Amino acid sequence: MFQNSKRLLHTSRVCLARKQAPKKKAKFVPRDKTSKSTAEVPLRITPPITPTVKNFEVSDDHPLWQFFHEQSYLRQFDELDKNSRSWTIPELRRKNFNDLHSLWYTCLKERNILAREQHLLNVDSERAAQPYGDLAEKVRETMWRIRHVLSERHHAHERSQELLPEQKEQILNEFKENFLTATKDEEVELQQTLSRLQYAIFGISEIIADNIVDKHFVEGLKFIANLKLERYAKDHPDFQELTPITDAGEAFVLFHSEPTTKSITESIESVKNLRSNNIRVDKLYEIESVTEFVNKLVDESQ
Amino acid sequence: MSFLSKVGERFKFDIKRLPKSLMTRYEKKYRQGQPHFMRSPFKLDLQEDNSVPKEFEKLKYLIGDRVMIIKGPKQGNICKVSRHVEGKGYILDENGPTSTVAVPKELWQDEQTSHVITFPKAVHQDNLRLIAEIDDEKTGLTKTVAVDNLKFIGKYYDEDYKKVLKYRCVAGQEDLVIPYPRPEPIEDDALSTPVDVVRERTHFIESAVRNSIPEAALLTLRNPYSKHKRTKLTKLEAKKLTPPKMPLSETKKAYLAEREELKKLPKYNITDEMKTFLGEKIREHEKVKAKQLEEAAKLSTKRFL
Repeated sequence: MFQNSKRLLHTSRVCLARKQAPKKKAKFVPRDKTSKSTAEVPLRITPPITPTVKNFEVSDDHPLWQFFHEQSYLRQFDELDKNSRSWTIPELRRKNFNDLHSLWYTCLKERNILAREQHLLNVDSERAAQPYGDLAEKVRETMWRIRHVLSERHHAHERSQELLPEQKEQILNEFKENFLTATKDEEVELQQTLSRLQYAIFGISEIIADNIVDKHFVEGLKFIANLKLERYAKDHPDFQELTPITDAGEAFVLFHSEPTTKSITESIESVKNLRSNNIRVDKLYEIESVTEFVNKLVDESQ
Repeated sequence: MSFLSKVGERFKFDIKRLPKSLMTRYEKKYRQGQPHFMRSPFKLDLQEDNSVPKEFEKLKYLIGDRVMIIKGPKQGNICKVSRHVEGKGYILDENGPTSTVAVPKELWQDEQTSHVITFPKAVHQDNLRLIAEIDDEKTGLTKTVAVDNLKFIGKYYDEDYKKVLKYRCVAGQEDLVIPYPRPEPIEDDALSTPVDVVRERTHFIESAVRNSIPEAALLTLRNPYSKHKRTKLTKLEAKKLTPPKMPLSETKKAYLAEREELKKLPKYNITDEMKTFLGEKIREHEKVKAKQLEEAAKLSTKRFL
């Protein structure tokens, strides 16, 4: 009796004393049999399954195959690359982000393969694993150089953001002068220059879906709208009244029109309609509104 | 897997960082750890980055060069250079000096059947002379000659070595250029990229506003809050990046012009005529000196008497 009881002080023992009668346990009902036991089924002798690799079936596109060179367990020393060198920084500077990105992952995969092989050989002797490590080191060198080149580009971009406001006005003035004085024969070339400029200074791409609307984009819209108006509709009777275009909605209409006098005149009519109906884009919501316009254009084109 | 990371690399034992005072002790231990036949006869250049020096003045003969041994038991033999070793040493082909040694079985190489093997011995650069073939203008025949000394001048890009090399000339007769032996062509390996793919330019800066790197990739490139990221250049860096003030002062210009002229002056070797002329002058001087000494001796003897 004393063996089962807990050892407690006589005062605390009182607290644990049962006050309610215990609940009655439910009666045990055995389940129906779903399968027969081995004793009920007559025993059959089958051949034993030998533990070999052949018993495993691995599909060729199993993701872990990426850790193996051509599905081989271990490459021989002669099969390793001995003559190649790492990519140099000047070579990598010529490549765009996508190329560098894919090269990075090619290197990463190769290093994974080499690390696995090195790990296998390291157990036996470090000396045998050395060539694999040396090759991995070459690949690693390419990888840090990729990071170096990309960060170099990023720093250059950051620096250009500081310098751009200083030189922007001068560049735009020069372009405006050339744009307005150009003859009709130079029209094709002029449009190409304009598309290059709008991407360079304002980040407006020719492909509508690629665009990201921000303050530069809106600023570009207004600049190009005024520019088009001045070149193609200087003789329009309402020219003086319309210029300068400061509303983002009006700018978008003019920006979207073809670079011909006829198309610009049509756009001027719609701008006048907007003004007469007093439809304006609030300065605080310019970016949101222009994003909507651009999205509509993208949907229409699709 | 520690071998993947290079973080602890700087804490490893590195011979290049060993203080000079400990070098002799380390060298001794290093030599003791090697079997006798494997020890280099030359002083070890353990603090050098590569076993082969990069300067062509130090490395007179390249792999594939024909050289003549001028000292030692194999004197007069003409061999081909097959390998460089530390300390201006050259391993030659079968005509070069060899040493026969007994090798313990633990160190046997593949296909070795005997304890005794012959090892090629390295020959020092000073004991070798380059063999060159020169066209004789008078007879119109090609002569095989041994060149006493070489001089390295000028620069050119060697397509086969893929390096800027210096012209290898005969010292004292700089118009005789001895070409370097052609290296064995390097074949493309498994990880090689074709040249035209490497040289193709795909990156063009088209916009000052749009970054060519996607924003999501920026955080994986560099830590933007890194303490190593500096916005200001140090004084020394600023000095290095600033071009010197132009134009140069008159004094500096005159000094530079004078230096250029001095460089242009031909450097003469002393000819036999010069030697005889100088010798005569010295003899004359000696005669005058001797006379003066005789007179002085006479005077002193008179005084003594």
